[in-house]
Amino acid sequence: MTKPILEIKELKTSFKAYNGLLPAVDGVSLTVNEGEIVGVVGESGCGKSVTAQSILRLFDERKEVKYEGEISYGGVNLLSLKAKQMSSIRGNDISMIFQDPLTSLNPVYPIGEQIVEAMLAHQRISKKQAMQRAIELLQLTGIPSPQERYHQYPHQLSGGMRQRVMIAIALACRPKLLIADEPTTALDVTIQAQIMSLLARLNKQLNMSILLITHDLGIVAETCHKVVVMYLGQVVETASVQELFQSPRHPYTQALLQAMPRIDSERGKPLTVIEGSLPTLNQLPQGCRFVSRCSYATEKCHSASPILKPVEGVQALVRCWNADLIKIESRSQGQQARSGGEDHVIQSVQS
Amino acid sequence: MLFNPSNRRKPLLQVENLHKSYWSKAKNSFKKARVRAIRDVSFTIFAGETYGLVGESGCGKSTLGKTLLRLTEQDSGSILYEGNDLAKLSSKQLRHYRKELQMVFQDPYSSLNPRIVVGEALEEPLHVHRIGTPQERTERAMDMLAAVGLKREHYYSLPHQLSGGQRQRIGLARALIVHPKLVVCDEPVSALDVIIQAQIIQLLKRLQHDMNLTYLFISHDISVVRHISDRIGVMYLGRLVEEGDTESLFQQPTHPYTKLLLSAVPVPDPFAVKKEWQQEGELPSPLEKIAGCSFHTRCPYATERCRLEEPEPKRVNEEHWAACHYA
Repeated sequence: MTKPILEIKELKTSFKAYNGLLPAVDGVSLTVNEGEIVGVVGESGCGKSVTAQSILRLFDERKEVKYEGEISYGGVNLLSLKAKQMSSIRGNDISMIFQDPLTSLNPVYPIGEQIVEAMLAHQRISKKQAMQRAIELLQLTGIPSPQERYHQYPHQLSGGMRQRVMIAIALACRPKLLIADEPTTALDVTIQAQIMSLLARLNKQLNMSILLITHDLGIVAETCHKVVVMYLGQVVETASVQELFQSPRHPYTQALLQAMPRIDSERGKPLTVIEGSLPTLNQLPQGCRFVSRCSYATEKCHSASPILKPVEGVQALVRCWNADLIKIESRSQGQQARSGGEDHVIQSVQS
Repeated sequence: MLFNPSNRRKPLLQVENLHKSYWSKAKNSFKKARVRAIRDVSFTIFAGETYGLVGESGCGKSTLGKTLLRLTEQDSGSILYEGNDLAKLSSKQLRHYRKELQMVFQDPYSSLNPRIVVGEALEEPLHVHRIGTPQERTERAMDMLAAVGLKREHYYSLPHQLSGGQRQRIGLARALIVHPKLVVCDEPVSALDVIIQAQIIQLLKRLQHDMNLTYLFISHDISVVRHISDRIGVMYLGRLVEEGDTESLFQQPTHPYTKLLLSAVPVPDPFAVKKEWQQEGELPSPLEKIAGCSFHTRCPYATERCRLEEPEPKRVNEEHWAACHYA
């Protein structure tokens, strides 16, 4: 379990804009171990998808972006590979599924051929064998009557089925790491539950690591082993899933957890709201990036930017000057032990 | 505040046997096929409450919202608003009621005209209903901006200068500026991030209290609906399959579809006991004709009777019913 298969160190992905470089991902470090499901959460625009796409270097480096840092996969820094070497990694060792399965599939080819294509590109395999395996894969991902489905086109399938096909394509070359970028956001909740349990099953069955990008903390709690919380291009907290939900240490993580209406909480309790919206990348505040919305902010937070460091008493890494001082408000099972009063000052709008 | 069961007995909107169908291209043929988007829906919304409507995409919840305001015409059935049947009114007569029934849409990006400033967009409904002088309208727009938590400067902003959350506040302000009684909120927070979503939910609650509003809150997000609603209706393939007050519906979900829906919601607690009821199968196409109970194709408890006979609503308790033979 503890052998790392992917290690990202101080990754910085900057987009070339008319007024200079905009760092959408600014010094992200994270590790995915063998057989582990790691969740990356954050609001839209926090850089979680860009991090995922940087791993496979999906952006055009000549025109769009500049990568810095290190992405080490099996001892090799992916950022130093040549284009050709990189394409032998994509879809083969590391593959990816996206949010919208309709736009990710080619509408004019039957789905079976699209699965076969991935295998023929990377492996020495006959077309017949590949077809056989494609049908097995369709079965593995829970598509009924795979023989007939093989010849169908994407438009003949429902959204959930399309996502299963995407997963089948991703699995075609038996990757060691699957990057799933919001795989269920476009799906209904009952189908979402099916796809998530499929991913969890594949993780166990194939011992395949998964990097799961999502904005839904419920999904994280149910499927991930480890969680990385991102805010404005930086990692603000890394913790095991139990630790994160039980004792969130970064004020932003706390805010995220409190803002969420929960199916298991007491009803009628107002949600705790932090005011203000996300600053844009070209107007980043001085010091800590969360300072403008943080209720614990001190002088130091306004001037110096904190680093990701261990906190007393927990395994988590937290990017906050006050992490040791912030009281952990423990959350008993299924209940929000927090209330508007106490010592945390996050403004609560009463209804 | 949360409404009190003792004084809720004033129905604001009563819907009876509402039907609505669309014509759509049939599969593998050039013929047209009828999609029955709403089938025999009856329910009542009481003054001052929030009625939540949940269901998966394609179940007809948005169509229902639009049909109630006559943004699309119903096939049959009645929509009684304070005793008057909206379905029978001419468009001229309806204009008076349009003021009292307003709608907030899901997508704050496409529901605002990109070329007119926010203030003008806010004043437009007042114009249409011939309310006030130009100065009064501007004043009211300014007041409304303050009420939804925006600044006076935003009067001169164009939609592209605002964030998603701010646009949704504008959408809300525009619906509320004519002082409606009933607001149909069609997925008002679905496009927003969780922190912004919480801001808008708290705003909706505060405005409901301050302006004495009644909400029909349509959403696919069960946690959000649970948080905001007093009573909830669950829709499946154009039908209301279960209705109850929020407490009872979540304590005691009775229709198998409601049970499936609730068990599918991920619980943000890694220590929670995993629920085991996994269900395969997907929503059937709305073009298909399903005899008997519309859920029988996915229902693990389905029997012969479910395939043949349409279930009638059965009482679970005074406020709570489910349309299942075995409820």
